[in-house]
Amino acid sequence: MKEIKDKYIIRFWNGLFFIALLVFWRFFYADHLLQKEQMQLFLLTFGYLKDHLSLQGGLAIYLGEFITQFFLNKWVAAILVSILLISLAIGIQKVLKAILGNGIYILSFLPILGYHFMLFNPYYKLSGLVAVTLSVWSLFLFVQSKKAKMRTTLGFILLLLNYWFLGGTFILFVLAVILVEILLKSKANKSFKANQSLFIFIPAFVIVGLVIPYLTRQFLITDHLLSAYFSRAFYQFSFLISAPVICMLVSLPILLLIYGWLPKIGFNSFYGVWGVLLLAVLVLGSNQLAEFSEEKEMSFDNLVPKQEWNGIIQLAEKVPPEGKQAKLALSLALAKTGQLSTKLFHFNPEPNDFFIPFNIRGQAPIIANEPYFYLGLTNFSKMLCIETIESTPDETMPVRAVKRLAENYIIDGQYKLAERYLWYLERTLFYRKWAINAKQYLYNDDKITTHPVWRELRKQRVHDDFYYQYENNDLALVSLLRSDQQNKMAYEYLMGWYLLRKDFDEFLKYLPLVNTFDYKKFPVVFQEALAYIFTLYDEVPENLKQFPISAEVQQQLNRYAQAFQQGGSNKPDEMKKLFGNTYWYYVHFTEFENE
Amino acid sequence: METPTGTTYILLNSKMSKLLFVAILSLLLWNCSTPVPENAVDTAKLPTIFPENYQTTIPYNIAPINFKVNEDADNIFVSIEGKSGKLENTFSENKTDWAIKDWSAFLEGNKGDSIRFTVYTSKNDSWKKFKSFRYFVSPDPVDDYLFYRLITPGYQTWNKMGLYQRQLSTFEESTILDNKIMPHSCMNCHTLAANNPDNMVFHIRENKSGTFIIKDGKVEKLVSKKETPFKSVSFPYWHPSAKYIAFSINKVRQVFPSEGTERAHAFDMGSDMVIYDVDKEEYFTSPLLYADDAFESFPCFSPDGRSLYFITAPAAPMPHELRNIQYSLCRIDFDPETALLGEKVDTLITPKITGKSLTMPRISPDGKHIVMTFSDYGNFPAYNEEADLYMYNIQDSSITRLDVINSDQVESYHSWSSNGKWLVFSSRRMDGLFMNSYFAHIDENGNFSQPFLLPQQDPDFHKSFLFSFNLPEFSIKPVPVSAQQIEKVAKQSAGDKQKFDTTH
Repeated sequence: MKEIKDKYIIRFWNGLFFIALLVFWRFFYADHLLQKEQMQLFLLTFGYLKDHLSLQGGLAIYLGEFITQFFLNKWVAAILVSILLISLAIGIQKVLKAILGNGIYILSFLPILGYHFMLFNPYYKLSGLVAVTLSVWSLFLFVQSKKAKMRTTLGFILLLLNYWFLGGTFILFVLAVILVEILLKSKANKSFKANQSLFIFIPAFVIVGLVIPYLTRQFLITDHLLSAYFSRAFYQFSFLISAPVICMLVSLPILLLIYGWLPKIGFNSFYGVWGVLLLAVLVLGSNQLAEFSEEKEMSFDNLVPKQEWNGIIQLAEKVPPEGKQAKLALSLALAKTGQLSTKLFHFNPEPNDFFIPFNIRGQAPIIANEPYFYLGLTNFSKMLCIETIESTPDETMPVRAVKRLAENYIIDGQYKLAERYLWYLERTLFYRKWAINAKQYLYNDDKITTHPVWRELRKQRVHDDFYYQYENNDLALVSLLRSDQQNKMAYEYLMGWYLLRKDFDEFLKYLPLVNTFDYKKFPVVFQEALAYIFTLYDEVPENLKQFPISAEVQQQLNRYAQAFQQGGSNKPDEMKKLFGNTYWYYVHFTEFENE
Repeated sequence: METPTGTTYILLNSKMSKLLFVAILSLLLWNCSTPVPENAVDTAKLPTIFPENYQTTIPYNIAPINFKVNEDADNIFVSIEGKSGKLENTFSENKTDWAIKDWSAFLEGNKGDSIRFTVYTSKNDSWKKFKSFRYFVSPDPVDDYLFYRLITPGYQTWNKMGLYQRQLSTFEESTILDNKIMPHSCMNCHTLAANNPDNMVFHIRENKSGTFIIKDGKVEKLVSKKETPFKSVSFPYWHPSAKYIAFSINKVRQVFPSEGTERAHAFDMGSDMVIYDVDKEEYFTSPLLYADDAFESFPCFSPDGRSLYFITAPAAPMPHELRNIQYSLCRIDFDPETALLGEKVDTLITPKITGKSLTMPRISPDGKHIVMTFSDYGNFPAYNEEADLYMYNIQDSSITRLDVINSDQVESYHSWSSNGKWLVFSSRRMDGLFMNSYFAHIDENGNFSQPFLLPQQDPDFHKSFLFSFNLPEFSIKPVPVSAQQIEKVAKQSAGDKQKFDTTH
């Protein structure tokens, strides 16, 4: 009866933790999971599987990547991660139950909390969780064997399998097996025959565990020593020691020690208290350790590859962007929807919002490519795509960079190169259709003229030869305009660039070009800037009188000037409430710091 | 991402069962004698194949030159005829995959003669026959190994590169050193003395950096310290005695152009030259190689060891003068006994004569020819589309553009085999981005044959391979030390101190 009761109680807690994890990963951290998918390229080929299986820990990496490819859907991503984490807890519960008998092993949720927190960091891989989970289940298989000799043989076989297929989890397996055998001998579980030669088995097991990775490195693989032991399944910097990974590898052995030897301090009797405590750790720990600001950045950036420009603007209206990536996405969205010259100052812009410098952390280089791509600077976009591919610490190819690179090569007519990158996309589950469609454009310049995006970008490509200089991107924008005088995005970026830097001379220099574009009316941002500039003149120059400033803008400027003179200059918050969307507020209250 | 290694990739899709069937069938056919297709319709045209090569000279000890037939077909049948008989087989997926043993025996039997390829394709059980093409099997062997660096054609960062050795009679490739064992290190400029890796030098940059010399089976690390005015050395060339290594000291920078297909431009902010005495562990130079008003680079010793060739250009502000700087070929005497350099520099080729800039002089083992790369400007032609290989005849001072091996894309790095009968060179001709290694034979009159691409087991290898074959160098045998030995020295050695003398 108690056994059945325990079963339902632990199921209840498993369910509760599953729901808590699902809610977190779906509603609070889904964009992180989506970016994990963007940072890999999983191929459905025998060669890809074979390459993985020829590495220590390769099966775990393969399975981790296989699962990650489904993270394109936020619900599926959250469900899969939650299932994996709960599978780990269930595996631990099964192992403990097999050795120590019935009980509510509530501390089995401790390791999953650890891995849950580790996954907040993009450098910790899902394959590590897969490896630990499978290793725990292999230990469950091990404890199914009641006879000592059979267990010994199975132990050595599973040790080798753990090492080769799951990587560093062989450490967890070795430690756990040793503790299990000691427990079986000292606690005399009737259903098991204890190993009577522990003084031989334990050293032999440890020595095999220590020697196998060393010998593998000497004779089978060329790899860093730490990678040979820990594998590349856990941490993207596999050549560094990671304390969280070590904690995970010793977590099950520690639980065996706790439940096997420590005095019963109420883990079973007060499981409810412990359960609530662990749930509290899950909630509070997630709140403390999760990078919610990064999640917010990613929520903007993840809409860029889908070209959901209106979605980005709507998101910005709800949650104003703060970080560089979100601001870059918003600038791009405003430009792509023709609103940059009307709404540029609605979202607290900063001078360096249009471009971000190369930064090798996470997705930064690929995000940096976006404005170059849409402006027509395909060479710089290619550069940042390749830099993205080349800067992943674990040598994976980010699918977003590969896709964008292929697009750039198609736009530039470098079809052979496009083919090479489409080869990869064609062998994926979710990008295959896109790649097959893209292949129809290869060697077919006429067809490219029918493509909604590539057609314009091919036309916009720059013809001037100059070198990449992040800090002088205004010169690149001028060149783009020289190459294609109808490149409206380049024009709005250029004018925005000068306005954000408060460079009125350059703004006025290029202002006459506004007449060459199909603006229905003189853009509001330009009106506001010009109205302000007029206040700096004793008499408005004749050549500027052609640009109409609406009565509405002029009246608002008058109101602004009055408020500013009446003490508003010392009350930025008040002025922001009233005039935060205007260029005048930006001019007076935003300090310009060039990078 | 693991790189494809010449394996056939098979999609897990509906074609699977068909492919498996074809694979099993071809396996069965492999063990049967394959009859020449009867009643084949003669198309009287050459088949479209990749690598595209219908006339070339190959060494008798080269791995199978597999190719893919780009015709609409279910199967192909290929017959190779030579004086020793025939080599024939049916292949699936339109790709040849000759057994190394059969291929090698066939070439051995046809040494010094032509072999004729005839391709048949089958579609819906009807066969087509294509026009035959011929290769000449040279009795001149190629060196057993090719060393190269595999690197993605990137810009400033990398996460995966390595030095590898490929056995040329098979498809076996093994690692000399790579980023798995040396994370974040850049490894480059591997150079051998007379194609023998018993004396080899290469550099590691960024992480655990230094210049590494392999000598007598041991690895030694050189780190330039306070005793030398330079931090590192580059572009080595061994003296034939293996007692000296000439280096240049470069300040290489890159810029990235906004338009066109050229990915980057590399240039020197300044450069000089030094020679390293391996036994004395001492760098020395002469004011003639270490001048402030000139950029000297890319040294090359003559086979008799008594001349040092190098390139030079008047110093200029860079990158402003990038498009204008042009290099000349020069020579200076060198006495290996006393380690003394001559008192004057001879200028052999100047841009005034050629209108071009030249770089990477590599002298043939018989000392008769120097092959160089000519481009419009600069000394790093890897990015110059117009870069071509030229040959300078030392005896009559004539310069020949090697049209037979050049293409409309970049040709740059090149090196000679130990017998001087083969030249391996890098070219981006396949797609304008990825550098590949091509081989060409040179006869006694200095004439080159049509080049052929480094053979791969799977002709589709290049469809998905994302690395460039960088700095190909022939070697007569594999590297005598392991990657682990190099790693150990790189990590544990702080580097040996070297003296520096500018008065030689």
